[in-house]
Amino acid sequence: MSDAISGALLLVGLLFFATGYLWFRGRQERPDESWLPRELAGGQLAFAEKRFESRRHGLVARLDRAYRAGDQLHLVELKTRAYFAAHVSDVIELSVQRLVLEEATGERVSSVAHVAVQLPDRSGLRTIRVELFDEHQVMAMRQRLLQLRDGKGATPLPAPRRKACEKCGHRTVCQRTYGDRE
Amino acid sequence: MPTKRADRELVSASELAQIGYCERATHFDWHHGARRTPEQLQAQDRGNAAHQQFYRDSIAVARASERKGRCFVATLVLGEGAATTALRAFRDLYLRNTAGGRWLIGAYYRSGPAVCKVLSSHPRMLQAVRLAVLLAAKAAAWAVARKLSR
Repeated sequence: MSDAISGALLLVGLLFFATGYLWFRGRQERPDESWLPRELAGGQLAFAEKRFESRRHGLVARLDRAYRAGDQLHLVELKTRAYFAAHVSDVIELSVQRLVLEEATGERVSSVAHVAVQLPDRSGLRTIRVELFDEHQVMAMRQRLLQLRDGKGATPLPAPRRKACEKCGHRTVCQRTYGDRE
Repeated sequence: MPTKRADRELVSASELAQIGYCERATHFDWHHGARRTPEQLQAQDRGNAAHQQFYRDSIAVARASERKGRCFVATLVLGEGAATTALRAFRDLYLRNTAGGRWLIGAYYRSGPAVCKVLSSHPRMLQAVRLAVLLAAKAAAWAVARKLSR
């Protein structure tokens, strides 16, 4: 009798383990993509964490994700923020990604991209749609960056948001040099 | 104008993005080296951890995409377009989330090629199926829009 009970318990244990394993595997195999914006739903992930460069433009970028939907590629950039917003710096980064990806693959990349923001409460990703800069604008910015490095051209501008200065490591030297940000 | 050497130099997306954040910080970084505050380093660590997780998720998404295959019947009767994409989105957002749904997807991919073969040789049947799939695609598009607007 006790053998029958032990056998039954073993069977129940095995069933329990198998169910748990299948449930766990099902969860692992089911990535959550419900945060994806409408135009990317049903699209295929084409590239992830991949580096592209364009010698012609003198630019290099590592993109977070690119989806193939419709007849073009769409860029998605992950950002961890304390608030739900996209900045000009995100748009510049994505615009560079667009140029180098188009150059490397020959495929059309959408001029609209998505910034996926993850808030500290880990409530899941939410996306912000951004219009990207064109090639001419990106190249002008590149030129400006090289001038800033060489100390040529116009005086470097301060951060558009004063709040950005609060956490800046150059705050003291900036105040000493320009005296307009405390 | 930048020098010839500078013109050939590869500029990274994140370096260029910094001028949108603050041109002065770009200038100081270049001349005095990057100086990060503890808050910035903490935010950077958090960002790196999130990116690692995002990449792991990307691998899972890519694996799932490999198994997705083609929507045989939908592609045959409707072609590649918004309606087929809506059906794919419905598959990913609804069917893939339940065991029954996954079984249905598997059954569809197993029987799809045979159904397509029959439909290709019966144009009238193809017309009728096209109408049914079109209606299903409209319902799927509505359900997907509803889920994504939540």
